[in-house]
Amino acid sequence: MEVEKRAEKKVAGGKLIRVRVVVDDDKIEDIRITGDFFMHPEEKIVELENFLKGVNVSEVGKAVEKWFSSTDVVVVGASVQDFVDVVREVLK
Amino acid sequence: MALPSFRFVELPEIKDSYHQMAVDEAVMIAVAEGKSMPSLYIHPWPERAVAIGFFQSVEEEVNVEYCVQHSIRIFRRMTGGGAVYKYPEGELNYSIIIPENFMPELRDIVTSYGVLCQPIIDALKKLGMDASFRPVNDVVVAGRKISGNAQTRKKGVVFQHGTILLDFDVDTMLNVLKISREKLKDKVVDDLKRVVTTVKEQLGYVPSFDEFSSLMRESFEDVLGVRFVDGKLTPYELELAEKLYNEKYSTRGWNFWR
Repeated sequence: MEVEKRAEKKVAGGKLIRVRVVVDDDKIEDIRITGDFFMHPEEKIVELENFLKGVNVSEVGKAVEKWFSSTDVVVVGASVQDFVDVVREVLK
Repeated sequence: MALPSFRFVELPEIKDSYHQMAVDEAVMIAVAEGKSMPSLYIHPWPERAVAIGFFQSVEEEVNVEYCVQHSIRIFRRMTGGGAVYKYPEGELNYSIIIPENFMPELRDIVTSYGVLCQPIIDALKKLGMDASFRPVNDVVVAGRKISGNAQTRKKGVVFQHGTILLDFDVDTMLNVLKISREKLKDKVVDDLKRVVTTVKEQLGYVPSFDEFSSLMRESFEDVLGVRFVDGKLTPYELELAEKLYNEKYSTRGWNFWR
């Protein structure tokens, strides 16, 4: 059954990361990461979201870490750990 | 030794917020392609509008119905960062477009915010305000934000734009943006006034656009060690801006993509 969930995290320095996910049968069906952070290059956010689709909810934190370590994306105003935390939080 | 020349752009008439976004990207592309000099321009905002950051969701940040009813345009920036309510008398805006190899300090994003915000700080100081940089991307006076700034980079070129708050329309801003709606309204207004300030509040008046603009221009020259030459957008930039306006910035697909 599909379930939609939302979570948000106010990170050190005041920026906000929000996540919306649709979970179906313990797998991420769809995910949207929004907020007032900076990611360079910006278009990479779509790549991250696509990378997480189909991932099992129990593996999602690791998947976020893996994606960041495999690209040269620079995040400003938040940390990789903040993204890991908020994605884990929404799937709790 | 002659100082490097940068262009100080006298913008054409900007028809709306989408047009400003299109001009910004067009100049950035032209500079990246080596077709235009590094550039600075300073301008008021053309209309009442709410700007949202590249990664933000319109639905999460903006009261769309209120904006539609009050003819307040909603537009997405090519830069990250937060949602801002903008109006012509409310702020002074600038954009600087500069190759990242112009100075070693521009390579690192966090460091470069400090460099490119320095001219704003200097201009505010010349007007008598005790301004300072607050990482990552703010300029503050006595700990209260007076200027917000945002950056993007493409093909070796840094684009930074930002805004200096001249005056503040708290009521409209609270109607337009979805800020902590669960809080009592008075509390929100108090909180905002505690964390944000304006030139008008600091000085008791707003300096003329021309005065502010020349102070900013001088300060950018001093910080970057360059000399500005007056210029206009090139035919290439104007054409590119028109294309970006029609195909990107004025489209629902761009403005509401998340």
